[in-house]
Amino acid sequence: MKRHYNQLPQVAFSILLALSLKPRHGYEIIKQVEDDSRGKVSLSSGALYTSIKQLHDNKFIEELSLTNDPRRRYYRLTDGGRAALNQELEYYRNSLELAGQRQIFPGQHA
Amino acid sequence: MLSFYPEHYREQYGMQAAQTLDDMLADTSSRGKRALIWARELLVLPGNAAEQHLIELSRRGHLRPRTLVDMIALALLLPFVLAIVIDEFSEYFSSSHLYGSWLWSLPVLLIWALVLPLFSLAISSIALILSLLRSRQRQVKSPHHLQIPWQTIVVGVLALGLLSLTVFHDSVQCWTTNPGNAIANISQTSQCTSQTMLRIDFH
Repeated sequence: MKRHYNQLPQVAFSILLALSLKPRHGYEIIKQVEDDSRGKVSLSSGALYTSIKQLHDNKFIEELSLTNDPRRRYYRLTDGGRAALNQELEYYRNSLELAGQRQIFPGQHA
Repeated sequence: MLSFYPEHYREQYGMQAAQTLDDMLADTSSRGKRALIWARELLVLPGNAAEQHLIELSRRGHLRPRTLVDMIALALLLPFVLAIVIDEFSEYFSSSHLYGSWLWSLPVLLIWALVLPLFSLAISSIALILSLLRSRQRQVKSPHHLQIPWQTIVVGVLALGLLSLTVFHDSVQCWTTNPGNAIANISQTSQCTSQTMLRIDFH
């Protein structure tokens, strides 16, 4: 049976990518997303926690009990989250390969 | 800002979101960047809060298909209400109506004043009929079980009211100045209506 590919929203993808190295709390995720995107993506805390809730509900990330501080919760990828991230990265890799073959990168004309 | 979110969301993420915002503001030295952070938060607030309320309603089992249909029908009436409110503001602050603006030009006027309310009325009418049919079927099984779809009725009446306002508002003057004549000669009233509308369109 053909497997259906569900593309992740950009914010969700950025959060999963930010959590791929180590568990992080909210502000660390925002900083990492900003670094990963070279300053192009700046998340608001509202957008961050809406996406975190969605990822948490879908069991793509889980909360860690590293501290007792309720204001600082750490999140890490679950196996499902890593699989979703890999699937997404695979999709982007294919897209990049295609773009290279078709010579449609900026400054690269056929 | 957190008070706009549902209680369940606030309990789960409220303190973390507040801490994250504190961290962002503390890490920013310039006043301009702080203003930008606040602006971004305010910009995403309505959409995020509405989304979370919908999720919460759905989680509690309150977001039944009928509620969703009522919400869509109600949303179709929003442009009409907003246009009237904006026009009232314009009249209050600058003593002029917006009749010459793009909001009152065709086809924009036709969409918010006629098409969307008509769709809304159609949707609520169909929902009402289906709901009554279902209720009647249930009543056969249990005679005391009668559910009146008040939400749908209210939205339908509102749509009908706004449509009536669109169709008859220009003839109000005819009806108020000489109601007897207006009743006696409906076609004359329609003529008066069309003439008034022509005056608005061309002047």
